[in-house]
Amino acid sequence: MTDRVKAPFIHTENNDAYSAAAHLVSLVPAVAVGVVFYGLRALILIAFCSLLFAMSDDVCSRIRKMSRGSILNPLYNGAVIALLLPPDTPIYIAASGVLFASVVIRQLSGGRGSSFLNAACAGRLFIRIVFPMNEAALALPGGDRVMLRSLIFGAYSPEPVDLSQYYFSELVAGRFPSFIGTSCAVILLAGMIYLISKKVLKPYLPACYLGMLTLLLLIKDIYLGTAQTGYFLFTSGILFTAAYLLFDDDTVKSFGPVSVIQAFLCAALTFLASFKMTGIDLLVIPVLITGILTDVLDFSDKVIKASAEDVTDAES
Amino acid sequence: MLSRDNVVRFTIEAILFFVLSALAVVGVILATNTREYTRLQAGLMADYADVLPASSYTEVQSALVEGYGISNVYEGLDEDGNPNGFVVEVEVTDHQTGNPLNLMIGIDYNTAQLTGLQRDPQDQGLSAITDEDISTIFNQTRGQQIPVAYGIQRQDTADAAEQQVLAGLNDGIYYAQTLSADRSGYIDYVEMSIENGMITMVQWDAFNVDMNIKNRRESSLDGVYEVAGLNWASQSYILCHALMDVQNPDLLAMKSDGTTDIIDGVSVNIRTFVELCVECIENSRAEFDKDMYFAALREIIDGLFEGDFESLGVVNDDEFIVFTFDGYPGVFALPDGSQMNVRQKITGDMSDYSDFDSTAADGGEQMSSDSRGSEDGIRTGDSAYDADSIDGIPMAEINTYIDGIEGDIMSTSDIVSAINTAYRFLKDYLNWMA
Repeated sequence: MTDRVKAPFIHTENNDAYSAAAHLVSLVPAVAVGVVFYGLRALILIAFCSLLFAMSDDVCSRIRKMSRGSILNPLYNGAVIALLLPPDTPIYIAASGVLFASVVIRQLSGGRGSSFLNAACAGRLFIRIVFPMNEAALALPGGDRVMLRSLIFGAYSPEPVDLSQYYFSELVAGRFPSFIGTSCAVILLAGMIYLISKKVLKPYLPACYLGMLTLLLLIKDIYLGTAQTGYFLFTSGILFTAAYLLFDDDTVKSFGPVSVIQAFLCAALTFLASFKMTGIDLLVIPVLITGILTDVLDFSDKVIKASAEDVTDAES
Repeated sequence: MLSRDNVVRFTIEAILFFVLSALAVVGVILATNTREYTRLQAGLMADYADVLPASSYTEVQSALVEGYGISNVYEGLDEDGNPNGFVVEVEVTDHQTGNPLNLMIGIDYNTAQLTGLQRDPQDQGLSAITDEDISTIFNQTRGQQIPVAYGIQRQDTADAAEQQVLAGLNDGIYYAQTLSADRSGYIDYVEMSIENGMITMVQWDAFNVDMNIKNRRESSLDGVYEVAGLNWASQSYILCHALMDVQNPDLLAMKSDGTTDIIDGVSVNIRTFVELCVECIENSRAEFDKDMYFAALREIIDGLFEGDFESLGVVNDDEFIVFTFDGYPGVFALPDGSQMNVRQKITGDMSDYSDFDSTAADGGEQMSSDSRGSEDGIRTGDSAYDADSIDGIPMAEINTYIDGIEGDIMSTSDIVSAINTAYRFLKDYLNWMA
């Protein structure tokens, strides 16, 4: 039967705008967690970053006289940056990260899809380097939900908490000081399942990443006689990486063997980073390195394939 | 571009996703609330149990905290949820090094005595004041009332020993509650402890006939029950301590409209409190203690319902008997139209226990009856003492004098200053005059 909406030759609706919309909707649970845990300031930060990224993208595209594309992708990237921020981040710091991601990373490297780095990760890392904040002492979830002064003045330096004192159920529920949207495992899994159901994320990719990382952590636990794997999986925010950072348009150029290698590679890098890094470094640096290495891998793959085709042509 | 159908579909999915996620998060919050509370209490217990033993601790949220160099204040509660003290975390400057010193100070709720003094776990150890110094001061102040002064002798010890007390009080815990509810459905009660013939503890609160409503103290702290001036819980606290100071409800100088002008911070009608205190004092003289009161009240209600007390469901979670006699006006009526109380009803003892003459604590001469019921105030205000002060506290308020650390006035001064900072905060927070 012929589809009345789509042209008969279009067999899938999984186009760029559809993918961006699905990604954006998949962030909704993380946004809900941020708003319920941290209140109005989290909502304002998320909305501000999303709109600023979209406006910046639009202005840059007009200046460069390039196709502006869907507004949904920049909205998504802005929201991701906000969800990776501490709840008490001042708005000017958030703005600097968004503008760095949008103008420097995305536009100077050729626009969306051409970028060699995950723009949101790069923007967040920029904030980490230029405006170092005490990420060991984040606001407690469920505090003052209508407090807005932190949007101007920043954090009031809450005391660091010892996560090892938390019950496992609290860690799974995300009720510990964290970035705005990276703590609640149940909700992050819901977002991941949504992306898979919309066919914009292949299930084997997060499975490869999380499976490999879990395996490495278990080996480490056995070797050292510790029991940190579950604690690490639920407190480090790597479920956010698996759902929203690692498999975006900029990092994954195509699904297939290269993306699987990429998942394993990022898992290995995250594992190695866990010895020296914590907080946001652990979430974004492995993803950024993976993105760069994936470009190299992708390029090598294409060169090899082209060479093989040349040889085949020459033989024929 | 997205098709119109997709736009509609994604919009609906986003809204549904948000609502479901928010509900799920609220669900997990509720599901893990007990865990969080248990964890927090375990942490607080580990930090504070040596400073102020309590069944649980709750943080005092007050704008006053920031103004005193105080980092945190926690209220300790006993197993029944009643306050038994405060832990105040104070930061003072060590004047030998100029570095901060963080101390935890435990203070008993009823007696204003020091229950603990320790270095705060948050202290970075930059101060020259050692744990031994802190321990020395604590050994001199343990169980003593704050505020504290050092290196000077108290001059009015003899005067203090002549505190006036009521005659004929028997030691024990006594209780009285109103027999009808007020307009808000609250039944007031007073619980009074008497030791060595002196009133050592008084608690005034009220439970509601609707058992789902918190008691009046908690409701006032939650902002649900509002009165003019300070919150009701603070006013109740101040009033109870004023009675402990004067030892005689007559000296609270209640006016004909039920208010008093002589107790700073108390603006509520104190008539019910005074009447219940009088009943407690009479019960003490008649050796009719709290357990007997509850048994008597139960028996009276049992009689009204022909032995069906258990099925009435009138005992609340705190074991109070929530029953109002509004519908039974004849139960406590005497033939002359006057009213009996619970003790009189159950014992038939109509003896007059209402003689409120006071005697000195040492059993000496009686207090002049001229002062009974007068409105001349509680404090004498000796200007000789009021002129001097330590840590901003008039010397007249100083309750404990210590020798301090031998040969180390500066460390003594810093630690005493921390203790007195805690006092000044609590005094302001509770409008407290110990």
